Amino acid sequence: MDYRKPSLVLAVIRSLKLHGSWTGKTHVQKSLFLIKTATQIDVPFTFVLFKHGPYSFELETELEQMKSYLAITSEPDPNGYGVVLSPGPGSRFVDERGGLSEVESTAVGRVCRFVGQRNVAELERVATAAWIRKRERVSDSTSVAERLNKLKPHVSIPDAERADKELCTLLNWNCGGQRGQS
Amino acid sequence: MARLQHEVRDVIHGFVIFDNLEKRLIDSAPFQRLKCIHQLATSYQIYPGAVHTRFEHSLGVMAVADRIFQTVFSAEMRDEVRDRIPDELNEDQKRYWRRVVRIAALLHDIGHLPFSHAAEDALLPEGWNHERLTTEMIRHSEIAGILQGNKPPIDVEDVVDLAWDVKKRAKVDPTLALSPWKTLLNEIITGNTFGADRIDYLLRDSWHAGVAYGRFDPVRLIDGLRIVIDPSNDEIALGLDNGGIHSAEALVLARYFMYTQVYFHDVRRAYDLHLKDFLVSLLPGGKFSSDWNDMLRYTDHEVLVALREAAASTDHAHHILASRMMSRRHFRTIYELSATHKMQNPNIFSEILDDAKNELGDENVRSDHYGPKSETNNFPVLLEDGTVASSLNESGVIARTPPIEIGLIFAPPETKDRARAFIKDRLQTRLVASSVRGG
Repeated sequence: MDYRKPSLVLAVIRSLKLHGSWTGKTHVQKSLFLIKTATQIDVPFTFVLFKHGPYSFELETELEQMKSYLAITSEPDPNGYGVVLSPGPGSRFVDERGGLSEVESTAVGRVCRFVGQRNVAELERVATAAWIRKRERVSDSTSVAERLNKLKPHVSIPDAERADKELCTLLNWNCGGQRGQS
Repeated sequence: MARLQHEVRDVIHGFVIFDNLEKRLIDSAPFQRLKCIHQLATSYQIYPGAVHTRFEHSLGVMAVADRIFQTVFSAEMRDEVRDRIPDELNEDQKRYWRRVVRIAALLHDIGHLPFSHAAEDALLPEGWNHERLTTEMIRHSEIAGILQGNKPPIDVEDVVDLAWDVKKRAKVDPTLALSPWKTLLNEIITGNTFGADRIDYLLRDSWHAGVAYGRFDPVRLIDGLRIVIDPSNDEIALGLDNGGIHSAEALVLARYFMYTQVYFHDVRRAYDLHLKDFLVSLLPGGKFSSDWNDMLRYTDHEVLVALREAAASTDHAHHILASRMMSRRHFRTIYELSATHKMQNPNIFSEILDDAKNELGDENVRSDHYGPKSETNNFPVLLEDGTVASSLNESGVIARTPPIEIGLIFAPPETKDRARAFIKDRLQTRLVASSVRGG
């Protein structure tokens, strides 16, 4: 068994908890997408643009696999909508055989600090903006906001612009200005 | 005077009604082919009554999808939902989309290979599956002409967008961006918890197999469906009135039991492996063509004739493979993965499989593994005060339905006793070793 994937998932779940997140599946999904997009870390999950923004079916499969040997546990969130993921007793199998380097752990921490306090609607907007910039190679803020609004009609243009700005701050990207500017 | 409406009697839903356009689609060659494809592949070897076909299932899915559509769009709709889809709620638009939903539901399975899901992954070229073949047939066969020739015409791409499970399509088309409206209608047909496909196959398969596991109350379930704003993503979605939650619990459990007791019955899985081996040997290059026109030539009947011919002649190149199926000389289960074993050693299945192959030889060991897979049954529940909650909070049954994981190792009947004794011994060693490693 390759323990790279479960090592990353466990690191994200632990880091999210450290930063005050209730650690739902969406938080784990979006954290790993942003880590893949924004850092040099090898994240061996493929993402597609799905109903809630960037999403990995492989990650969903990995979460199921980890639940089956109790590397993680999943409980309904009494205060929210969905499930809370936590490290379980079987995480020892992963810790004994996997693990991340210090550089990787630092990068995971940076993204999880950003993700931890945000709700799923905010995360959907930010991650979709990241998708548009990285995968669709749209580079000016106005076009990113317009595209986000087209993909998610319930996201207003001002909200889309705010999400894109937050993303650029997180990633230290020079996101350029309005259309026509460089 | 020509009839405007037609009907057939169905064992599950009573009369299924269809119009002239739908009759032309039903009479087309791609749809008629479904009469020769068993819904449950080789399950009739274990459940003799399970000889029903994709034909009747497809008619049933159309009937259920229509019932869902009618229910959710005639129920009282909250303003915040109505504001999201004002154009689509126009009567002309609604009439058009009801037709598309019915047609997409009717055609959603036309690309199935012989024996349905058995061995589909191994028998098609990379990147192909029955859903993709279905869309090829909708776009390029006589079906496209029937849809475009209708007055008013039906847009072929609208049918594809609703018929092709958006979750599976996203895997092969990462740029797919279906509108919230189409995603909602797609969910009516393919949805995890309330999809018409699932509602029909559970009821139909359990009826034909003669088991009680798949039963639930579809009338109560469908009656409780509503369009809501899903709090998890702020999109329109199919949800359930709180009063229908127990019928949803029954469906979730029905599916769990049908998977563990019928769909993943170990003998059925052994037959699937033998069928795959036979077809890989028989087909040019070991695979079916991805050409939809070519696929129209193949049904269960052609495969069964080939199996009977090969089994009847000891000189036939594929005699042994065929007689495994036709003479019930199928491989027997020598190990079945248990949750307890896996919790003690996450690698137990692959380790035992390797041990069995080393002891018995690769040619004498076959395996089948599925999952673990939980159902995504986190759906919106509309509470009496108008707020929307998660099904996982409203129902402990739904929140705690176990994931499905099946791991089976098989060996020839003539070696099964020796193989089982060997596995029993190795299992103890492997579990003890893991426990020592884990401290």
